This record gives sequence, structure tokens and C-alpha cells, in this order.
Amino acid sequence: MDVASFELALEEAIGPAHRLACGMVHDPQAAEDLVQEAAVKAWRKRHQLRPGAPLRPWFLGIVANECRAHFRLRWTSVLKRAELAVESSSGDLDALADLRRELLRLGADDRLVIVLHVHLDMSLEDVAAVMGKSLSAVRGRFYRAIRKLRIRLELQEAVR
Amino acid sequence: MTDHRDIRQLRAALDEVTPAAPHLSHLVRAALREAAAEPPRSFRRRFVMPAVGASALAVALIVALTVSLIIRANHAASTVPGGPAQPASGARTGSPPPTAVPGQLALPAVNGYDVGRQDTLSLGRATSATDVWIVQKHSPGFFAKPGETFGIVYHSTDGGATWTQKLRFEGEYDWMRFSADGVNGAIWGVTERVPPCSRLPGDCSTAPPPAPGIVYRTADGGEHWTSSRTPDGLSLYQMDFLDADRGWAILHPPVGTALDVYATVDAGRTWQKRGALAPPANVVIPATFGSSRRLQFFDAQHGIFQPAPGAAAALMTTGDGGRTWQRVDLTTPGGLAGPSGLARSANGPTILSNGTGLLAAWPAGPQTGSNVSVYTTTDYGRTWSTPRHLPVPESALTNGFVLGVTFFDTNHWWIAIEGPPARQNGPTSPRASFTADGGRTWKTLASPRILDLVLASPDVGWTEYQQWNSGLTNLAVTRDRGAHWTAIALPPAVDR
Repeated sequence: MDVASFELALEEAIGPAHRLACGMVHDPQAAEDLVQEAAVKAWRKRHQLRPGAPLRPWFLGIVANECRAHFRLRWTSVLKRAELAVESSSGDLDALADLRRELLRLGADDRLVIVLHVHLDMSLEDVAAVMGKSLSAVRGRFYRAIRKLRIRLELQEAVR
Repeated sequence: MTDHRDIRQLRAALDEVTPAAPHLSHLVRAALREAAAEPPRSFRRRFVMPAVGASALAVALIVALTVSLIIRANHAASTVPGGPAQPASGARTGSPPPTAVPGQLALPAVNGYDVGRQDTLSLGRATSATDVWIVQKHSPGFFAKPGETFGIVYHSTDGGATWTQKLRFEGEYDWMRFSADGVNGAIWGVTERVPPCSRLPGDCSTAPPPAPGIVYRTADGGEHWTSSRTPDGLSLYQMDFLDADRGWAILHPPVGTALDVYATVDAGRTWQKRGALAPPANVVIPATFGSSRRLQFFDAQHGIFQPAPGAAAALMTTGDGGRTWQRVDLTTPGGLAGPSGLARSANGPTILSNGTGLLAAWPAGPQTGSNVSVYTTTDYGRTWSTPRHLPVPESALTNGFVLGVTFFDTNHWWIAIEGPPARQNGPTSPRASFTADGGRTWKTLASPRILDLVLASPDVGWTEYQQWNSGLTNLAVTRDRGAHWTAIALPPAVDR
């Protein structure tokens, strides 16, 4: 596959990839960088895509890996979370900010399943394809993640 | 198992951290081209990397020297290209000095509104290089508490040196219309943003509250205002006024997809239902109010409704004041429709006089710039010509994408373009192309990254622009068809 064909095939996945990255890292600038990095990695690994297999879930999987790696960079992770904590304690406590902060505190896979299903409007079957897991595993993870979020937000509300 | 309220809140929370990124395709393409041009890794490690290491220092020195020379040149001039404008009174202090970026027009950082804090700028009316109206918009988006969404309308008569607050607009500002002498005017918008119910599967069991339209009317150039609203129980979808009194509103119930057309002749004090709008099934109708000028009336009878630009290139027109609407399909000859469909000028068609009008279109997606076409009409948009390809210089458009097109009259047109970055994560290269002969010949100049452009005359243009690598939106004016730009200090943003 030459680079022009690859670009064309990737084009329709860039928007969803950007939404995924934004939802995962909550930093639009970083999200753009991550999508570009993922695109380059996808190009280098293009031979791993089975002939006839859809490119979009495969590419979203690469983007998800890039997002996980982003949080492994300790400095970024610590800095972003610290900033959020300061923001929340300064009195700017609207419900959406609370929700975003708790989302970031979820594990990467919990956050990923929520972002793919809720933010990208993907069915749980498609989410399973991106994550390389079974449908039942993904369904269970989604509901557990939502429950975790709800409990944490209720706790927060109770101590306020 | 999951509460729909949770899902709705999650969507809203995630939407807030997901801005549009139309330039991302270009960045990805540039990154891919760069990656594709790389030699194989082993070769690279053995031969290329040592050479790169040795030459990196020399390149860094050259770049540093070039940048310092450009910065010096910028400080020597009074207006761009390259030179800082004098900050006006009311400007924020402490802004970083302008930084010249190769390939970019370096406008000074006077001040700007922070989109990240939901403060945005909206250009209103401009009649000269000194007379301009702007609106500072504040909106936390969906689920805002009452009073959190508002706008402040400012007027300047001295080219932005000083600003006078004319109105605090309660709700989300849409647009304004004034008489030629600037005495009688109407400003309108929606009282609040409501979540797009139809986008939330199964979530419409609890209907969101109706969000009516709101109209402010002045008869003394903005010194005093009266306000009125659209009928109770209905939400505003789109609104337009022909003058300060005669207007149309497309309204819908809080739950459902019906769109009804109402009209007023007394600046919104009373409204009469005129008809219903039934968009074709395959055109994209966003679920909620949006300030994108999709409804326009050109006289008491003729109007156009533009569904969201996209794959289905259709418009709807009326010739009887909104009672009946007809679908108009635009032809899309080979090459015009891109992989993502057809993009059209966000402000819709421009109808000039006697029903003569223009509409710019280009393929959505990458490399859109090389294929901009213009449709023309002579009957208020009921029929459109076959699109004519614009011979904008290839150097301006190749690999670039179109930010917007503005027609002043049948001869004077502007196209704002964003060129691709020269390197991964590097700055893009915004350009403005200008024609004075209806698109036959073009002049292309470096420009700010134009987000919106209001022309007061063929020479004078006001622009809302964005600085590279900054979330701030700013204001600038040109008095010579883009040859020079002056950055204008905005009124300070309201701290919330």
C-alpha cells in the first residue's frame, strides 16, 4: 500500500481517533500529537493489518495504546492530575469538572471503554473489536466503570 | 443498568474537552509523508543519524539567527507584515511579545479571548475601518446554569482604540441587523443552550426545557433596548431578520423533529405561524440551535435555509415569505465532492441584489483548497449554475484547506486558506487570496489564521483570527486588501 492510499484509507478514522484521544487525555493539544504519532506507527505497522480487515478499529487500537503510553510518562501524568486537583479545590466545582476529574482517575481500560462507547457512540461489539477483548468482558468492564464513577461522585457529594 | 442522566453528563463532559480540529488531517498527512520518506531503519542508524547529529547544530544556529533577524524586522515596522500594532486602551498587559514563525504572518499578541474558558469573539457589523460592532460571548456549553450564558455587545467608532458597551445579552448571541444609518437595529439569539435531545438514545423521556429565541431592538443606535421572545413552549432553531422589525424564526418543540416557521413584523413582540419546514430525509439537520446563519431572508418573500454542509448538497428556498419551501439540489460534478462530502461556506449563500447570488463550495477533507468552485444564481437561489472552478494560484491552495470564503459583491471576493505545516507539529501557513474581477485573477498574501471575516468595503476587512499554538481568538483589521494587518486590543474578558 503506498502512502497516498494509506492516507485515504485513514482519513475517515482521523476524526474518531481525535475524539478518542481527547476523551482519554483531556488535552486537545496532546490529543493531536497522539493521533499523529499513532498514524506514523500505523504506517510502519501496516503489514500487520490483515488484507480485507477494517482499518478503523485497528487504528483506534493503536491510538488507545498511544494514550495509555501518554499516561505512563510520569511527568505529564503527575502534572495534569495536580493541575486538576488545584482547580477543583479552588471552588470551581461544577458537576462536569468533577466528572472529568474522576474519569481521569479511572484506569486506562475503564476510561477507554467509556470513551469508545459514550463519546464515539460505538456499539459494545465494536468496542470489543478495538480493545481486542470479548463482548462480555467489555460489557462487564463498562458497567463496572460507570458504577465506580457513580460511587466516587456520590462520595464526593456526601463529604462536601 | 446505567442511568441515562449519567450517559448524558458523560457525553457533555467529554464534548467539552473535544474541540474541532479541522487541521488535524493535514498534520497527519504531513507526518505520514515524512515517515514514508524515511529510509529503512538499519540504513538510517548506520548512515543518516550520524550525519543528522553533525548537521543539527549548524541548522539550529541558522534557525536561531533567522528568527532573531525576523523579530528585529517585526519591531521595526508599525503594522504587519511583521510589525506590532499599538495596543489600544483597555488592552490587557503582560502579553508575551510577538514571535515570528517562518511562513506565518507575525501579528503581535495584543490580547484575545480564551476559548478554553468558553470566551469567544463574534464579529458583528462593520461599516468602515473605524466603525465596528463585536460581541464577547460567554458560554459554558450545555447544562449551563441560568445566567451563565451571556454576551456583551461592544461598539467602537475609532477603529478599536476604545470600546463602548452597548448591551448585555442574556443568552447565546446569534446575529445582528441594523439600518444603513445605524440607528434602528435588532440583535437576536437563543435564551439558553439545551442538550440535543434527539442525539441521546432513549433520553427524551424527560424533555429538556424549551429554549425560546430572544430579540433586542434599538431605535437610537444602541443607547436603549427593548426585548421580546418567541412563543412560549417552543425552542429556537434558527432566526433571521430582514431589518430591525421584520424577522423569521424556525421553532420546534423541546422533544421531536418538527420545524415550524414563524414570522414577526414588530421586532418579536408578536409572532404568527407561517408554515412548516420539512427537510429532505437525507440531509443533515443538527439537533439543536447553532449560530451558523443557516436561515437567511433577502426580502419579505425570498429566503434560504441551508442544512448542515455535508454529503447531501441541498438547500431549501422559499418565495412566499416562509409559507412553502422547495428543495434545491446542487450539482456536484466530478472532483468537487470529496471523501467527506461537500463543504460550503459556513455563512451560506450570499444574495447581493435582484436575486443575484453566489455560493462557494469545496470538497471536504484533505487537499480541499485546489478545488474551490463557485455557484451563481439569479433567482434568489431557486436555481444554481454549474459550479465554476476558481483559478486561485496553485501555490496558495495545493495541499491547503479552505477556512472560508467571503463575497463583497460580484467582483470582490476573499478566500482564507490554511496551508499545511512544513514539518510535523510545526506552524501552518495561513493565506488570504483576493480577487477584484470575479475570480479571474487572484492575489495571495500571508494573513492571520482567519476564522471569520467581515468586509466593510472591498478594501477594508475585519477579522477574527487565531494565533498559532494559542487558543486565543483575536481581532485585526486591514485597510488595503490584506497587504497589511493591524491587531486590535479587545475589551477585557469578563472574569467569572
